[in-house]
Amino acid sequence: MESIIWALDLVAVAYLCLWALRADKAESGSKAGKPTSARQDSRRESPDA
Amino acid sequence: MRDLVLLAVLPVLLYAMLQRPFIALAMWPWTALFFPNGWVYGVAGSIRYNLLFAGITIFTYLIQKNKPKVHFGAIGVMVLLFFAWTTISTTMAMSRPDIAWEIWGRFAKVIALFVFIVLIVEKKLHVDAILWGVVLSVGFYGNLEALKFIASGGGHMIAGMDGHVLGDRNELAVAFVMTLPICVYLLGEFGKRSQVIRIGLIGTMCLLVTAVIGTQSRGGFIAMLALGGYLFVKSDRKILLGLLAVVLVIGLSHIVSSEWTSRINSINDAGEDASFMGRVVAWKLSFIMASQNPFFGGGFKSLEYLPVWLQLSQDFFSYSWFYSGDSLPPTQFARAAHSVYFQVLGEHGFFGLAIYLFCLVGAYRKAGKVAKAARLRGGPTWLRSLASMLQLSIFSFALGGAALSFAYFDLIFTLFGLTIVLEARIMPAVLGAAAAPRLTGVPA
Repeated sequence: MESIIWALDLVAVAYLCLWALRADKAESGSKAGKPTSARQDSRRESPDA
Repeated sequence: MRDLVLLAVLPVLLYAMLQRPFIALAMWPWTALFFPNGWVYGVAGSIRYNLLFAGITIFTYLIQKNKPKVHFGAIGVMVLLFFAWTTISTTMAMSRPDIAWEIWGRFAKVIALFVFIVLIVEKKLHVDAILWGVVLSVGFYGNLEALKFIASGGGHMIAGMDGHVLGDRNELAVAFVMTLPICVYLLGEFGKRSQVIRIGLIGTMCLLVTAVIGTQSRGGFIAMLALGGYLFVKSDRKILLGLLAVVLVIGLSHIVSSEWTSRINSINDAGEDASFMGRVVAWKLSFIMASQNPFFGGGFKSLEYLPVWLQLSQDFFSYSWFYSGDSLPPTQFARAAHSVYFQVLGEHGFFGLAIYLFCLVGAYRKAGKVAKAARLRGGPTWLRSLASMLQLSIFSFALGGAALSFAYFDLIFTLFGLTIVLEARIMPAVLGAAAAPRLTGVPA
């Protein structure tokens, strides 16, 4: 039982990595062509950022 | 079998980590807190996952184009100053130099994690990935041990794994408490998107509470009670939390043993409790060490070095105003400081403690400042929730750590880093974006 839960956790971690990658690609895709990324906003709004 | 599963999953992790530095960064604290090497016994156990993931994080960051502008701020500078301070105290350590430098090396890795969080994290997705990594490591272990505790009818004593950063059951209890606010934030953010995640996170929170009970840690229990009260005040989900608390109290009342009840009741008699007064003796000796070495203290692990312990014990009665009851320092063995504050005080002196407190209080206040700004400036709910929950997690550490030698815990320095980027990078971007439509006359 312990090993099954442990394996499920590892699968969840793998899913997390793939989800994060897909979400980042989707965010980058939606911002393509737009001049303001979060990073650029951060620089513009906060002079010391 | 576990080796096969780990080796099968590893390529997926490596693929994603090599694509994005923030994913590698999220896996860095995960591997430190999950401790994969402690679970496998075959070929998979020969891989140094923490080193591998840290190396990939650094490599992918170095080759990344358009790196975010670096901003450490006052807290970041103080964390780095604290590390420099510990380096100097280690060169003058009263303990065995090899042990002091070994602990310094471990702390250097924690600081490296902190630095790369400040360098890499620049948006909500990055923070979420790191927090999920924490839940899938600390939360996983809490779930597993709590299930064993329930299945054994309260007989299973929850303890950490040998060789793990959370090897001590008291430290484990505080880590469980620190993970609870993180679960609350993730539940608010992801609970509506998926029923599986919602049930999983609510279940994890219930099992983490059970796991804290199962450790029989009095410090962890007090931290959890304080967190519960604080969480109730801060949370927008008071009804849900109240119902959860009632269900948990009723459920756990059937599981906890009379041994647990008598142990918790001993909190009321702390002044007569030998275990607690033993800690007060260690606190007093830490204070004596700092008084004798006010600038740099005795260095890492100096109190636990018996010759140093015996030498400090000779001045035990010179500080009679420091109440320690009838307890005396043992002469056969040395003890740990049993408090993050006295640990830092003894190991790095009054100045070291001042820097450490600046970081702790500063991060706590900064997170509160972000939550307040998000509320006053009409920021998104997630920003306020994230800042509040980071603040609560830091609060849990500050309270629970008062009776533990846990000052250099990876998770608290991770929270320091996240608080810095939240204020300096994420909040301005989010609030700026929220304000832009209003400025141009477009409804937000």
